[in-house]
Amino acid sequence: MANVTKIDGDTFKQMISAASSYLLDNKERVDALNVFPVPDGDTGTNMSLTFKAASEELGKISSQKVSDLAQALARGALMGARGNSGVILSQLLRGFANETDALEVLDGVALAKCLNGASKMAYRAVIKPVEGTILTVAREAGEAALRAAREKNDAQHVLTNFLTAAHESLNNTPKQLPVLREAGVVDAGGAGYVVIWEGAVKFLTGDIKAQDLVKVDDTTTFAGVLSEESIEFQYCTEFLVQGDNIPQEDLKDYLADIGDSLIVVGDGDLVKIHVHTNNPGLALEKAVNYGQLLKIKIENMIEQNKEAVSSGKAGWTTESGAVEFKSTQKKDVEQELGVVTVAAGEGISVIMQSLGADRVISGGQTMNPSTADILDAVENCPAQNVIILPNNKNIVTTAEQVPDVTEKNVFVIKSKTIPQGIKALLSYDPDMSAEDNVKNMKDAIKEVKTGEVTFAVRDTNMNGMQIAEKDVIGLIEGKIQTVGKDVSGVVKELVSKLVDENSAILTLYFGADIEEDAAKELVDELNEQYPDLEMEAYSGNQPLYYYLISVE
Amino acid sequence: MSKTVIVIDSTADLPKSIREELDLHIVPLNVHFGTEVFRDQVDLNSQSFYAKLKENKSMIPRTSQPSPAQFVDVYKQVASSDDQIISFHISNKASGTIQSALIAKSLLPEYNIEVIDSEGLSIHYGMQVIEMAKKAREGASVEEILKHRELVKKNIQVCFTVETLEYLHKNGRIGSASAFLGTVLSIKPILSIENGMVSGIEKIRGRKRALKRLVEYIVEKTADSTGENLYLGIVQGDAMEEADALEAELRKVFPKVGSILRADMGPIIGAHAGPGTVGIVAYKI
Repeated sequence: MANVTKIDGDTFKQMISAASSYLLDNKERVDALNVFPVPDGDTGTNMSLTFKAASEELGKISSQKVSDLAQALARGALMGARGNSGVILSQLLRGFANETDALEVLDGVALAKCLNGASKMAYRAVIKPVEGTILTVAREAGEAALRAAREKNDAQHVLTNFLTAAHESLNNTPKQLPVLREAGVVDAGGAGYVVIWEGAVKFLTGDIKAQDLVKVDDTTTFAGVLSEESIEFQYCTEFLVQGDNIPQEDLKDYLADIGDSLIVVGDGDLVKIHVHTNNPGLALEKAVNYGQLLKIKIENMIEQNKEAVSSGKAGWTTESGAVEFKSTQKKDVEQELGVVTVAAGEGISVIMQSLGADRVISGGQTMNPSTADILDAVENCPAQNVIILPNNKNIVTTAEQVPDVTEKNVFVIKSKTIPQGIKALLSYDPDMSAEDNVKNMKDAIKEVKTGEVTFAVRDTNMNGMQIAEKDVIGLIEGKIQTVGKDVSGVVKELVSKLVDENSAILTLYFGADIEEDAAKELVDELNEQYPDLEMEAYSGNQPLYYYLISVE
Repeated sequence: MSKTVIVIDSTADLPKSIREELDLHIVPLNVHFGTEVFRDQVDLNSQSFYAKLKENKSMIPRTSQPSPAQFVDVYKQVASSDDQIISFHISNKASGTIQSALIAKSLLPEYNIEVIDSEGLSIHYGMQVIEMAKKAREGASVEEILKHRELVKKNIQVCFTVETLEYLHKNGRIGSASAFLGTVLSIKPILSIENGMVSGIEKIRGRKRALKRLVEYIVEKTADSTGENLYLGIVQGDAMEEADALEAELRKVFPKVGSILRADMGPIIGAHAGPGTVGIVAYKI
């Protein structure tokens, strides 16, 4: 097709129709960009349906004036607007239409005015405009259109330049919005807007026809994950500098020259640095002039990005729109408050971590950690205020030595059993003060009763009970209450002593020597016996103890 | 004579009888099951929604705000340019509904429309609507109605529990309760609404204790022991029996409370909170 210097009514109709089909065909690619979690997902679907409703409105009017057609387009979008992105699109089209005045045809200058007016209207309509979204793409591209029109009053020239700028702006969105950066995607709404105009340009250049069904080729840069080229600086570099009167401004100036995403914070004696650079060595070398370096962490972001692509965990949506859960792994960022606990068994450890424990020391009845072990965990915990849950009678005293040997502000909760420790963690709220947490945790511990089922290591006589080596014994709050030959029997006996009319929930943590099926069977039997109790069983994987029982 | 008209959206979860009694005009949001689209309460009521949810266990329904044109239509239908419209809606942080309402307002410059964010969800929003509508019926001015609503908003207490956090999580509406995610133990969270978004209050183990905690929370927050001047509402999504038990419990702790609003959680909020959600709203004036 020859160069289209002016867009008349017929061209406009066909161009919009082509753009609509083009967007519809490529909506999944836009959908795939949804950052998770995000309200009202399905951006591509919503935008394509909105634009389809809009373009269908063009078929309903007979006028050949571009201004009438643009008004119809805006009206259709307004009625068919679906989802937030659809609503914003409707405002872009409204802004476009408002600038068409009463024009029959659009030349380059008029078109540029429309494209620029689109973003102005959208900015006005959105309650809180956020940069790094469709708004930014529309604005920057609109400005490029005005510049292009000043060079040459030619519609195709304007639209081509508009599109190039839109692409650039879109690829820049992850730099503006942290959620996009984290998910490794460009903004979905912006991508939808780019696709629409890509369709329009392809129509003008004759690459596609109205109603043509064409797929975006796979090389399109918004393919879901940041392309490697878009990572300008490869290494995410973080460290602390400890010294005297560190000249933060000098450091900042230097680091800004060798990278981006710069953060320099702290007082004169301790400064935290975060920078993306291609030469982490330079950053370290500069900083070491001012003091000693601590907690150095350097990560290769290109490799990380590749992993994210291959594992599919970059915020992809599946076809049905069901989204992969992103892992909520705890990052070691410096926080106000931390918790160190002691636990035996992988299962118990995982449960405690999932409840917010920052460090779990492996230990228990027969392998008490030393004060040094606990101190080590406290020092290692990324917080100045640290709560310790010893979760064992014998470890409480050891833990109580720790506050004397550390600079950190340490609180020891005298939790004597694992169920007490878990109960305390349930009430833990990292956003509250250490003092409030300590109080809540202490209160929480009082609300739980602990039973333990293990075996005797030697013959003994206790509480009037004859106990032989290897007998199964049941303890309540550390005191032997029952003895038997069979694990399930002892559990039931113990439960009958633990449960009273105030009990609501019973939890069994089964040990390394117990099969899951056996634990489930036991829960079923107990359920029959105590129908009013809610019961749960978890694999604690703890050694020596067949079962830990918690009754609340 | 000019009149004051209140336009709300379907997420207020108010029962039909109240909607009719208070002459409320409702703009529906949309529920999407895959490619099927339903208008909330028009094409799909709460009952059929939860039934559908059970049929399609793997499918998380999605929702979308009304289009600006829907608002334009309703505004034009219920009022003239002489009238006052109060367009009062679901929290802006949870839905783009207000966005559509504001665009509609900008398209009708000759109309007098106040678009207000309730910063609420479900009957936390709905009970504010009731108070406004009562004032409007007394012939109060727009200013008085909005002032009264501010007062209610300041005093209103809300808490709820969900069967699972999965729905809030998958739909991106989990707010500060995200801290409750990832726990290996099964948690029944006590949640509230703060600044228009879901917030986490407490992690509870066991559904029964969570329900009990809801009542305790309301008692603590209202600092009331008789319930004499207390307005209470209970909303449930596919958890009628538990809501009944909750009402009995509330009547026990607040012996002098009058009628208690009972509401079914509609498809929109239900899609985000999931089945098994139960909540209490309380306020004094």
